[in-house]
Amino acid sequence: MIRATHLPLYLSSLSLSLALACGGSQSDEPTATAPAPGESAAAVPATAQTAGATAPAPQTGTPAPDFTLADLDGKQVQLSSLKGKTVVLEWFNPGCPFVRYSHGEGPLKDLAKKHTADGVVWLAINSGSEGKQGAGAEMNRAARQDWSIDYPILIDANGQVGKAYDAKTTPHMFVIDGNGQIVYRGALDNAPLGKVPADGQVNYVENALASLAAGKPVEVAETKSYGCSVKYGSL
Amino acid sequence: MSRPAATASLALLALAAGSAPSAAQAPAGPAPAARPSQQKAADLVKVELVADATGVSPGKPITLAMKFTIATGWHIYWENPGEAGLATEVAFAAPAGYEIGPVRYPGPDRFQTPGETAASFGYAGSALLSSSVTGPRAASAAGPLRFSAEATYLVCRDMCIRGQGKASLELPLASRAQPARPANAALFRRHRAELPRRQAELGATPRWERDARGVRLVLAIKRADRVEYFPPTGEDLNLVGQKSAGASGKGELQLDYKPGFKPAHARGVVAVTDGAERRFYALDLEEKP
Repeated sequence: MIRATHLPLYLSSLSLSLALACGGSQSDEPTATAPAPGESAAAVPATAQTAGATAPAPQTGTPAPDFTLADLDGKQVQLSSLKGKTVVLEWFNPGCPFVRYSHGEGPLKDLAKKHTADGVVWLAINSGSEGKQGAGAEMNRAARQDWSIDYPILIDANGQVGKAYDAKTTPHMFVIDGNGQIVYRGALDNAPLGKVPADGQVNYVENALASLAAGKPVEVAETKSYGCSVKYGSL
Repeated sequence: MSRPAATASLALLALAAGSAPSAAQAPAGPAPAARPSQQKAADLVKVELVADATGVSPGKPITLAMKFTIATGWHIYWENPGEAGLATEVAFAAPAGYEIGPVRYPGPDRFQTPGETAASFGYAGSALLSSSVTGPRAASAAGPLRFSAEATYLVCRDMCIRGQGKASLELPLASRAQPARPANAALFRRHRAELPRRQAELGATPRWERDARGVRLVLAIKRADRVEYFPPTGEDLNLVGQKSAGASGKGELQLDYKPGFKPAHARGVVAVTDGAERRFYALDLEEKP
């Protein structure tokens, strides 16, 4: 059984409160929830006073939460052991249309290969709960084969690492510098499903990596990610 | 080294995940209760082009709408899909010389699967996305006028499927002999009631509070049992907190922004529920000292 060992070296006050967080930009009022099959998906009325801002996700310029997760072959990968290297985290779900587009025809087809050749460590993380879309070793092994992914796909079945980072979507990207600081978090680029806006395509991860390599500050340190929701299990 | 079983399972996923320019018409087939990996977008979302008039009078606008009918349990997205998903988009087409206005989105509902952290905004059941269309005053041709619309969307439940749909409609040019009359009155009346109203109609009193930590908008809203806030596309990073409250008769919305956002500008849509009625208002408030 693949287990996630979560070492909260950098978490301090964030820890478990993140398990309940919905991220800084949304209220956590419990309104509509996805219905059971057969039910209509209308919003569930709620009239109670709602809570205010939730615990913040790890910001850019702060330490990336440490973790140890096993890849599809059972090999353990510990983030803190990668100090000194630039690390890219890619939240992953092989069933999600955004991930399928990105790896099939989009930027993720070649991006990792290009940068791992320069010493960047690239890690995919699947925080999907057992039984939910895209979870399970078989599906991830099939995706690894079909998309020629030669970097580790780490299994975070209990979602602890995903929640420590407040990963909300697949894909959701984090770039971590050699000192273990988050220098970029958010969307892969500005073209979900290949839809390029009028001003042209911008790959935020590529730009962040180029800045790091040149010893320059990352210009765009944060964007809103896009994709399918990360399939965390019910609490 | 071939792995036919694994490849086949991914191929099934490809089918489900919406090789969406569905050339083949989906057969009238399995109900949405069928195995999720075999769902097709065209089974889950039906599109139809509807108009609010039986004909087009020269120089007089009509409203066209793409009507989406969504399978139970699934939803499509608002113009800001929220933290996950993809905005539904509609492109209308009309004969040469016709002006097509911007696409209007009704106020959304909020969706969040239990256990998940991403909240999204959109529609379940059915939804209309509309545009106002106005033709030239001097009509050149007498024949039937052809209008069409193409929609792209993401339809989701516990998984998401890309889809697209096309629909068209022919309307006669109105004449004295055959004047244009209202059509689909109830449908469009409901649609107009769901479009965001002007902010002035909200009757809300804004108050801005700023200190070193940030700037807060406090909006006191009359006659609200429940208040919901939906941020506009692309503005989320300045917004760091929100709190909405409603209890018989009085409502309040608090929006917190980063201190660097100066002057702060609150935009988006506010939904106010008063008794049985839920109304939407377009928010557009700039910070005043």
